[in-house]
Amino acid sequence: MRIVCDVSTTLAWTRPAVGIVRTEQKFVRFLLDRPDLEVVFCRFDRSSRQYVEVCRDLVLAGLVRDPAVRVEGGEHANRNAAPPAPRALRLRIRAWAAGLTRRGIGHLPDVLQPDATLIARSTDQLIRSVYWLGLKAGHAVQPGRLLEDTRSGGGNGRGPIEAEAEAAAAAVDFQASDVYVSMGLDWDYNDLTVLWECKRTQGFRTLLFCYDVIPVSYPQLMASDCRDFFAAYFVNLAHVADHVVTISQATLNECLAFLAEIGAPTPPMSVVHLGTEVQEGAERDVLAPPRPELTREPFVLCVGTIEARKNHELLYHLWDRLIARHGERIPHLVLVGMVGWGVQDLLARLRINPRLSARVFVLDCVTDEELLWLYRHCRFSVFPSFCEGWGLPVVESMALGKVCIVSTAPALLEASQGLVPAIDPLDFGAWFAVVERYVLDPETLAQTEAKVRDCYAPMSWRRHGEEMLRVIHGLEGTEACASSI
Amino acid sequence: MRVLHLTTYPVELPRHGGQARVSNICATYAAAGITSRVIAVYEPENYGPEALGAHDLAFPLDSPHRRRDLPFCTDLASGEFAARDTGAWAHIHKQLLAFRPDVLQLEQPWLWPVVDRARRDAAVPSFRVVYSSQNVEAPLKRRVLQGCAAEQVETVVAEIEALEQAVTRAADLVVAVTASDARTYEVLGARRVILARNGIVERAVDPELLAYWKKVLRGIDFALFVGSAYPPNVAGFWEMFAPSLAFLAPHQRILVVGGISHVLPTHPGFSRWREVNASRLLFLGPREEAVLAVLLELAACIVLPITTGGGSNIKTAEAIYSRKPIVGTTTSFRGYEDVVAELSGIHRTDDPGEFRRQVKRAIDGLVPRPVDDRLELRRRVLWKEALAALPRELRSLARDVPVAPGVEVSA
Repeated sequence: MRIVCDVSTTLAWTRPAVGIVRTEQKFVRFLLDRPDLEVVFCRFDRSSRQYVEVCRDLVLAGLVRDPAVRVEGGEHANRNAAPPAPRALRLRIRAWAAGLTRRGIGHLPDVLQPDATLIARSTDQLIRSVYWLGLKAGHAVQPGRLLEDTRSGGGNGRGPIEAEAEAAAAAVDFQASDVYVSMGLDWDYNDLTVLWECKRTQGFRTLLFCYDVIPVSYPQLMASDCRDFFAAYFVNLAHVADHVVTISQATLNECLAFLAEIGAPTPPMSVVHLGTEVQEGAERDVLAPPRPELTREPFVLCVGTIEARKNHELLYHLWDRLIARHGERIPHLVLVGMVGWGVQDLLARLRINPRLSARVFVLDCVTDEELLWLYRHCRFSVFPSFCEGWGLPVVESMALGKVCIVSTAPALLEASQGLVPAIDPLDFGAWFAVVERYVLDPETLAQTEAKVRDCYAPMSWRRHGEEMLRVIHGLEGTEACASSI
Repeated sequence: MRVLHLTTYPVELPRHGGQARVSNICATYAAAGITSRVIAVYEPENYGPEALGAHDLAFPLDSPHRRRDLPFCTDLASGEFAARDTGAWAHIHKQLLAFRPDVLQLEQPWLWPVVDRARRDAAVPSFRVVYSSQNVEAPLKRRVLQGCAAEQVETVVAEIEALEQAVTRAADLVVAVTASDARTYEVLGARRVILARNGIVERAVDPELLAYWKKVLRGIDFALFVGSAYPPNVAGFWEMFAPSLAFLAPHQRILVVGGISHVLPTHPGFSRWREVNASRLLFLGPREEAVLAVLLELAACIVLPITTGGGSNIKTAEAIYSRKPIVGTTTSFRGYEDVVAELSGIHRTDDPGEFRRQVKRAIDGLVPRPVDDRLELRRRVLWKEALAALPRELRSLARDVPVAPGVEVSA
């Protein structure tokens, strides 16, 4: 049996890795480290509407392009002697500059900080615009266009990896015994109708991923109404996949419920929880706080994109009430994450509220090292999200031995393994009571923390890869799906 | 012998089932030496000049006889217009005097006020009345008007019931399209009822056209749905295919032919899962008979998701004659029960889940084509067989031969 692993997302992604991208990359790395497996990498070529082979060096180039992924030792990494892609360097510089600027602004008097932040953001925007305009004018090489260059076969200044990729860009010769695996952003970088056609003619089996069905189950919690688009995507997934892996039992249940609601077939499904290795770097000495004052002040942490779905609104009211009642005894609240949709009003209130403006910090562009420092030094973390596919911040927090008070969203109950308090995301009274207790009663916090340390079993990416392999091997010898209802 | 047909639609270019029926009745009469003339009191907003016959009469959009209180009631209003509007009646009266029909044949009951007035007009020579029914209209109208103001709906339905009763009792002969309809007319007091179901014309498949459409539809497996823009057709489709067409694989489609193509996407059943439904539907709009013959040939199966309506459906006859697997409802096979009972490859269910399963099986190619085509049985759905008894019945009327009350099946 041969595994045909689609790396379209890894190769096309040009920003710091989000959860899905990182999951694909982790599995790709797992496969690269297993010479005993017969693996072919491929990507979907939109212009020719076919799957083309991708050589291992190009796959590795895609992996190292993400600054968040370390290049580990080993045969493949050594062979990939190409320098980091320019974009990775640019991102590293940008992250470094952002950290430096943030710290600088932190040293300014409070009254100057909002204006300084505004100036810094405008400057950043200007630099970015100049950079992209430069690209358009042909004065720079855009690493994200690596594959397009390969496809067109033209262009100057391409390195050995690109040249090799060009030579190797042949359509995948699918065999009936192949198992095609895609774990990426298939709605953006794949076309399941093309995959379906390939499968119909060539008879291989497919293993596809479902991270969550939030766009169709909770469209009101998305930035835009993309319910229709994702409904069509999930329906095609249900037809094309011989097996669907979900990242939690909660997602599996919701996926099944959605497919039943819309009248689509239900392919075999199984759950493979995502891995985490955040704990591995936790003891590193190089860790540093993103804001200097955090070394002096106790704080509670909340990690995740700052958007309506994550329910930061609850935390706003919670901290406002806690500080009103207990004043300085309440630790700071640190919100880490990219600012998303539906929170501009909330952020404005945070800035204006005299009780909270100096007690709640919003941190964007935090590096992995800074995030580790935050996890290591927080009192505990909170995650009151309305719905999730899994709950990586919960896993990371608990893997580092920190309590995470979670909402009762099913995926979070599953991710936290029942070891920490779980509260209805709309039950303000209960949140207030629990957080107040964990803040004011060190004994309670210590007991739960001990339970987390003793009992919490995080999943490693290696085990994730092995679980995936088990599912893939389970497809061996099975009939390709008939997409029946 | 002369027959004057009164309809609410022109029949020169038959598109929908009603037009096809009248057109074929005229052809059957002509073949039997009976002279036909048609007066259609038509809606000018729906028909261009190319569709009109020489004696047709427009029911203007601004006529005071148009009903503005309820939709889908122009047919009912057309009778009052034709009989009461001075210009309209003058036109019809002139035709009656010039043509001097032996028989006035009402196609559906709507123009009964014209017949009634003509009967009482001393200048018009005496004639026999044939009520050529296509549906029992009152219950159908109630379903069509579902969602409108209940009081108005009941008023209209009561008007139609009275109209149907008057026509049925006054007619010398009632022609029904299903046994069930025939029984209804007997109960209403019909003197004589015969059954002449809907049929189709025998079509040959044009090889060039077949090659063209094969190319166009390459890689697509489809079920064919033919329908007019008649509200119950739309409601029936989404009732049987609810909650969505997600059960179809990415290369499978429901191919929609006929006026229903324009209205199917306006139904809430479509918009609930718009993207999924749009990806599994192909709308071809109204098509020529030759194209329809080709599509019937290429289809994996024919679907008849008809949940309401009286009468029988011409698309059912087409499906039966196509020799393709058919998935339909009990209602959809009304009028063809005797034929369907003896054929294989035909699935009858009123359960939407089972309906979808059978459609999927048929598109997947899991329903084998019948080994024996049973062509002699299928030929019963051709117009020439379905309408064979009509000329004989008409001649009986003209000879003034007393006829025994009761129901006679013509085919």
